[in-house]
Formats: sequence, C-alpha cells, structure tokens
Amino acid sequence: MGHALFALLIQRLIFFYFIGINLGYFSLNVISLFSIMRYTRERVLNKLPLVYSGFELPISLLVPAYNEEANVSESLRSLLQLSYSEYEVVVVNDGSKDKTLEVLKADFGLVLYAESIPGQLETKAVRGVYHALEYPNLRVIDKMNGGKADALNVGINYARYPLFCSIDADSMLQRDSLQLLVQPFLEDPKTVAAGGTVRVANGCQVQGGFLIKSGLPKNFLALFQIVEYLRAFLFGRMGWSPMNAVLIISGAFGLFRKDTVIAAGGYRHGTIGEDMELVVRLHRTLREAGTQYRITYVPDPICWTEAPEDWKTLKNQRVRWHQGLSQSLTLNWSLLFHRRGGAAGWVAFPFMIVFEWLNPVIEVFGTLFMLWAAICGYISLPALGLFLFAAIGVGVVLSLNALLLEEMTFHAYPKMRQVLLLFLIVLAENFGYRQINAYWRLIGLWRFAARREAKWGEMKRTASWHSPVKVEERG
Amino acid sequence: MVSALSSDITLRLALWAGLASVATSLFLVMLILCMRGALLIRTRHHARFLTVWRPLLAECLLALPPDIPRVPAREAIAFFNLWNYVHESVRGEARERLNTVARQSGADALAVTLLETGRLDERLMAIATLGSLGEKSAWSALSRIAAHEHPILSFTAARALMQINPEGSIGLVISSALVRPDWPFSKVAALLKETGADIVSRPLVHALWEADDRKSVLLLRYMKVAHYTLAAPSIRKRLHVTESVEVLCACLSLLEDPVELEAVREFVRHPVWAVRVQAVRALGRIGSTADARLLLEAMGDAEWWVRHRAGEALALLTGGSLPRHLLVETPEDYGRILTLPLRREQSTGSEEEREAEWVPERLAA
Amino acid sequence: MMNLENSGVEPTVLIVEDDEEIAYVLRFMLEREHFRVVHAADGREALAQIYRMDPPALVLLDLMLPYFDGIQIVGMLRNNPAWRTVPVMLLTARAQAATVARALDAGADDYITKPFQPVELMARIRRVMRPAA
Repeated sequence: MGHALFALLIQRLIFFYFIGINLGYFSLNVISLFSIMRYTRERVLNKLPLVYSGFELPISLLVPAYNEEANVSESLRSLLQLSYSEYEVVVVNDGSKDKTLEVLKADFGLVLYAESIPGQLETKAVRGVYHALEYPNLRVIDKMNGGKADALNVGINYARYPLFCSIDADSMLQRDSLQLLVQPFLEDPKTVAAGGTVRVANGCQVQGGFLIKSGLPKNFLALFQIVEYLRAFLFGRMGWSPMNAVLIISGAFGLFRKDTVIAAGGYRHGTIGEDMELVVRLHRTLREAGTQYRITYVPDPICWTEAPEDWKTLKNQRVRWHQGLSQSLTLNWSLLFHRRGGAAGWVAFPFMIVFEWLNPVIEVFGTLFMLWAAICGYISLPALGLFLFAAIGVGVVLSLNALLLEEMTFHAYPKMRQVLLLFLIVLAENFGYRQINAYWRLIGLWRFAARREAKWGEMKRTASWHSPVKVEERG
Repeated sequence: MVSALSSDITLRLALWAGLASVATSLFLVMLILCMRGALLIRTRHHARFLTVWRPLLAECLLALPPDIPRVPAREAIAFFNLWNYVHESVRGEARERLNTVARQSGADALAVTLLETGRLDERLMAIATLGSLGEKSAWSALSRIAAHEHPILSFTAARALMQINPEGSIGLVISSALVRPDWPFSKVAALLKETGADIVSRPLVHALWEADDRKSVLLLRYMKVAHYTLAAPSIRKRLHVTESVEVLCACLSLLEDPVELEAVREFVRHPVWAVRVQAVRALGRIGSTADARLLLEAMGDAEWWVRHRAGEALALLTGGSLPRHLLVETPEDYGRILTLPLRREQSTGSEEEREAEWVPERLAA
Repeated sequence: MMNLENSGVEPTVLIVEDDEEIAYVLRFMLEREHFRVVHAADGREALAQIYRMDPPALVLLDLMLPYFDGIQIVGMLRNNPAWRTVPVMLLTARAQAATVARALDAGADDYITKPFQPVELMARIRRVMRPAA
C-alpha cells in the first residue's frame, strides 16, 4: 500500500506540473497573439520609404570571431551592406589559432592603427587595432584569447556609438533588421535592450552571406528545430515582452545600450551562456537599483542562423544551453521575489526555474515513473495511454499555435506543401525528439550541478557557417 | 490498487484535455490552411491591383493620365500603401498630380471613412494619406486624433496636420511634444526637420523663452533643427541663468559661435563632469588654438569621458598637429589620439551630435 | 563601342535599384522616353550585367544596395575599359554629403537625392547623356 500511496502522490505531482506548465504556456500564447496583432497594425506605416533625418541612433555591430577564417569575410561583407543610416562594424579577433586575422587583412585592406582607447571594462590585452581603408566603418580588434564574453567586452570598449548589437560572425541579418530592432530605443528612451527573432537558415538558399530564398531543409533534425525556434521566439519571448520580463535575448542578435551594460559590468567571464546571463543580470541590477527600464522583444527583425544537423552537435549545443541557463539563473538568484522584482522577478524568473530549468528532471523522471507505475500495475495501460494522449495533444496545440502566429505575421514558408510538412513535424516531434531533448538538458543540469566547466565548445560545422543560438525551450 | 490511480479524476481530466487538444488542433490546422488560402487569394488580387495602378501612378509622375478609375473600397488599403509609397519617394509637382489622382479616384473619401471607422492599421493609413493629400477638410478630425492617447496614432495625426498646414499646427505639435513623453524624440525631431527650419525656428525659440528647465532640455534638443542665428540669443541667455545641469549641457552642446567662449572656458572646470564633457567638446568646435593648454589640463581630468573628449577636441582644434612641446605633456598615452586624422572629419560629425544627446542624459540621472 | 546616339537603336539605361517600387517607376518613365531599360536589383546582378551587356548609354545607380554598394559598383565600372566613359547618375536616399562625395570621387557623374523630382531627373538624364551638347 505504501508504494501505491507513493505512486499516487508522484502522479498527482506530475499531473499538477503538467497543468501548470501548459496553462503557463497557454497564457504566454494568448498574450503574444494579441501583442503581435497590435504590433503589426501599429507598424503599418513603417513600410513606407525611409527618409533619413539624421536623428537615428547610430549602432556599433560587435562581431566576435574565433577561428572563422573560412567564412568571416563573407559574413562581414553582408554585415557591411545592411540598410541602416549609420553604423560601424567592430570585429574582435579573439586570439584565433587559424588565419582569421590574415584573411581579414587581405580581404579588407586592413592597416594597423594604434588607437588608444582605455577601456571601461577589464579585458585581456589588445594586440592591435586595424582600420579598413576601403570601409571607413569597419575596424578589427586583435586581442589575446579570452573567450566570447571577453571578446564582446573588448568590442564594447572600442564601440564608438551608444548602442551596440552583438552578432555571431556566422549569422545573417536581414537587411532591414537593424532599422526594425532600433525602434524600441526610439519609442521608449527607457529601453536598455532589445532582441530580435532568430530563424533556422537550413534549407534556405544562401549566397555569399546573403539569404536568397527561404525554404525548408531535408534534414529532419533541422526541421524539428524550425518548429522549436518558432515556438521559442514567437510566443516564448513575445509573451514576456509586454510585461517587461524578457529574460533571454539571443546572443546571435541583440541590441543593447552601451552605458547600461558597462554599468552592469559587461559580459561575464567564464559563463557558458554569456548572452542570457547578461540579460538576467541587467534585470537584476536595474531592479535592485530601482531604475526604470525596458527590455523588449521585437518580432520582425530577423537573423538567420544554421542549426546543427547531426545528433552529436545538437546534443552538445543543448547540454551547453542548459548549463548556461543554470548559471544565468543561479548567478542572479536575488532577482527571484525581489521587493522591486516586478514581473521579471515574480513571474518570469520563477517560471523559468520551474518550467525551464527543472523541467528536464520532471520530464525524464516523470516518464520513467509512469513506465514503472504501469509495469508494476499502479497504472493501467489504457490510463497510461490516456496520459500520453493528453500530454502529446497539448504539446501539439502549443506548437500549432506557434505556426498560427507565424502564419499571421511572416509566413516565411510560402508554399502550401511547406505548411503541410510543418504540420507533420509538429506531430512527429512528440515521438522521440522532445524526450531526447529533455534527456540532453538533464545532462546539462547534471554537469552544472557537478560544477563541470564546459569548454568553449567548438561545434562541428555542418556548412560553412553555423551559430549556437540560445532558445529557451521545453521538451 | 489499479483503481486507486486510474479511476481518479485526473484520468477524466486527462481524457478531456486530450480530446480538447485534438479538437483544438484540428481547428488550428483548418484555421492555418484557411489563412494560407486567403493569403494566396489576396496575393493574386494584389497582383491584379498592381497591374492597374502601378503604371497609372508612374505615368502621373510626369503627366496626368486621361482616365482615372475609381478605387473600390476593398482595395483602399492596397491603394493607400502604393500611393503613399510613391508619394514619399518623389517631390515637387509630381506630388500634386498624385493628389489629383487620389481625389479623382475617390480615394480621399475612402480615407475619410476609414479615419473614423477603421481598425488601427486602417486609421493610420488613412491619416497618412490625408496628410500627404493636404486634405484641409480633415483638419478637425485630425486635430482630435492628435490628442488621442495612442502614441503612434496621435503622432501620425500630428504629422498629417503639419503637412496640411505647418504654420497653423507647429504650435500644437511643440506643446504636445513637451507634455508627451510617449512621442519618440527622434520622430518629432525628424518631423520638425522635414517641416523646415524656416517654419519651426521661431516657435521653438519662442517656446524656449517661456519654458522651465524641464521643458527647455527637450526644446534645446529640438533646437538643432532650428536656424542657429535665431536660436543663439535664447541659448546664450539660458546658459547664464539656468541652475540645471541638464540644461547647461544641452546649451553647451549647441554653441556654434565664439561669443560665449569665455563662459565655456569656465565650464571646463565645472564641478559636474557631464558639464565638463560638453564644455570641452564646445571648445573643440568654437575654441582657438589658445585653448590647447586648457584642453590638455582637461585631459588630466578625473573622469574618463572628459579626458577622452578633451583629447578629441584638441585633435579637432589642432587638426591632428599638436605642437610637439604640448604633446610631451600629454598624460598617459592619449598623445596617440591627438595624432589621428579623425574619421569624424569625413563623416559629417553626426555621430558627435547624437552621442551628445545620450551621454549627458544618463550621467545627470 | 558603337555610337548609340546615331545607331537608330533605342539607347539602353541600366537601372541598379533594390527598391522595387522605385525601380518600376524609373523603368516606366524611361521607357516612355524611348529608352531600353535593363534592371539589376542588387550589386551582384549589377556586376553580372557589367560583364554581360554592352555598355549602356547611362547607369542609374542606387547607393545602398545588397552585396556591393553603389560606391563599389562605380569603382568596378570604372575599372572596366568598355564602361569607363558610361555616364553614371546616382540615386541616393542618404543626404550625407560625405557618401555622395566618395561616390563622385570614385567616378560617378551626377547625383539626385530621394525623394526625387521626376521632371528634374529626366532633365538631368538628358543632360548627362549629351555631355557635348
């Protein structure tokens, strides 16, 4: 009888967790549905031709590069062609072991330009500052290796403009994306950070760092990730934005106020998810100081990035993300239920802990428990089937909602056939992919708990470019 | 034991949840497919619309076409989109002809209808159209909308008013901008700039004479679009009477003539460093080589920004050719900045101006 | 190269412009004036045209383009012997004097800022194409 009681208790727990998480996601969904609708209506006039007035905010694009010799020039060329009134590109060569610097020197006619800018953030030593003769708005900073956070901090030190945008050397920005991403800073001077949408570029036609035509990949892992990214961005972030509780801005594409980030201490050395950690820390420090601020998600600026297409790379990525999430949360623990924490401290942070951070524990052990209970006869097989039915059903609804949001806004995949394929993926991801994802994240959690230092993982490349982007995601 | 778990209410809930999910999923799938179908049909309609109206609008850029069809109500938004796009791409009498086309096709009446009854996006489109048209009859409706609480709606209406009658609405726009923090600074500034310094200078200066410190900070930031000669007296006066650090910074960042050189030199030693930053930058613009020593002194300032800006100002004053005996005295390795041919000289200096708006604002807080 | 003015063939204009609407309007106006129009929507297409087509009577060039910007294209054009003397007229949304100056330095002949006056544009096109007159 003891076992039965125990089983009942656990089952109840899982059940309430299940209800909680789905209600949570459902609410986010409803919020983002309305905010996206309002957003697209409000922006209807943004499509008219731009007349530059000279009152736009200039932006520094920071591009950390580590062993990127193969593609750094192509991506730089595409970054130099964004349609924005005034911006500069600062490439930070983080002590690459390959010929990244040499390639840049040759392709862009770099000249050494000893410019003394005593930085406000502590970083590894800078070896040289290069200017490009052909491109007055391009500089390359060569520094000792110190990791991505350190490279970004050097970029911040050398950025000329009050706003900086962190970009992975291998992601592709849509040409109008800066113009769109800067809007919150214009509309609300309290804005300190804004994140855009990251999409999976696999299957798209790419040429010389430019996306020619969107499309769906053949690889099914990449297909699963397309749906994941849609969920994560379209409602995972849009839902939090109206509450000013966006805790994640992708490292591949975010715009920040330089002085605010410097005041918060810049990117943190030695963290795995330095992008997420920074945003959570911004929330914490600004809340603690009682400063009025806004951190916003903007749905239409789009950055394309390649998702891993093999199990091993994907696994490493997910394990690392979850370690990063763990660090971001634990390093900023005092935001949780802080007196002035607002929605970030009282809603998003606890939500993130329970439904993102600890989710793999519940998901993996919950599944194992149900199997055990079924085997031991505590749950009948039909009952088990029923629970599975409900879990998968709700998951499908949430994913379909993301597809609906996509259909309402961007419809990036224009063919009817593509829509049907995405429906299939939404269904298929529930049989195996989500469970494996939960398991990977559990490993991440375990590694974090075991305080294993994750290395700056060098992901295996599936094509000439790729990028680890952070997606908060449940299995 | 089996029944302990399975006859549970949770089981019934799970069943409902599952069934509800299936139903919702089917509904969503249908919805998405319908939306996609509608999208395809819309795209086709739009293509047809473009084959009619694109050549018509293009033709009227050079001469008025003889036959102008009427715009059906369901194509109103598509028409406004295209028409406004072309309208904003051209200048001069082509705009007049575009206006004639809009009037003869009945699009003006459609805009008036949507202005009152449309959804948010339709209203915005209608407002923009009436503004481009210079539709005087919409004046009172637009004035009402300009006071609406929605920031984008009200600002778009304000812009339309300015297009219809700039002299008559500049007062309203300035006074609204001063009390509406939700109107983006850059958009208001762009509107003032597009309206033109001839029209906006005097009202801005007038408002500045009357304004308290809080409002003058904003007015001074807008003052960049005004004629400097008209604005200068009020700026100079503010410079001497204000107690506010922010106002002081804003005034200093605007100075373009050496009339106040003596005062600026004193501000280089002001106790608040945000003021010192603006003072050294002003010296870089209006100072003489006699100020090199003062700037060198500022390069030893306790605050990084003052040192940095002083270095740049010095480079600007001396054109990157600081006398060697001064270079030796330069603290730390700032000497190197001074020998740089600054990029700013090529790039119009707008970076400077805009950073000026950002830095002190944060520092004074 | 052949003398387009006297050959009896309609003179060709290459439009390099990524804004679909503006490209349409330009093509329409030029065809009205009996020009043959070739359109390149980005820097790469423009570059391909430089190698593919006979030098046109005029290049109408937007400054901000994907792949290569207008300044780079002017440079490449001027490096191609056949295209060295083709008149290049810039269309620019940027009212930034510095950028225009760089493009003129690179070898462009004239420029017009967006929003543009259609009548003025056509007049300038006629002038640029008959530099001797």
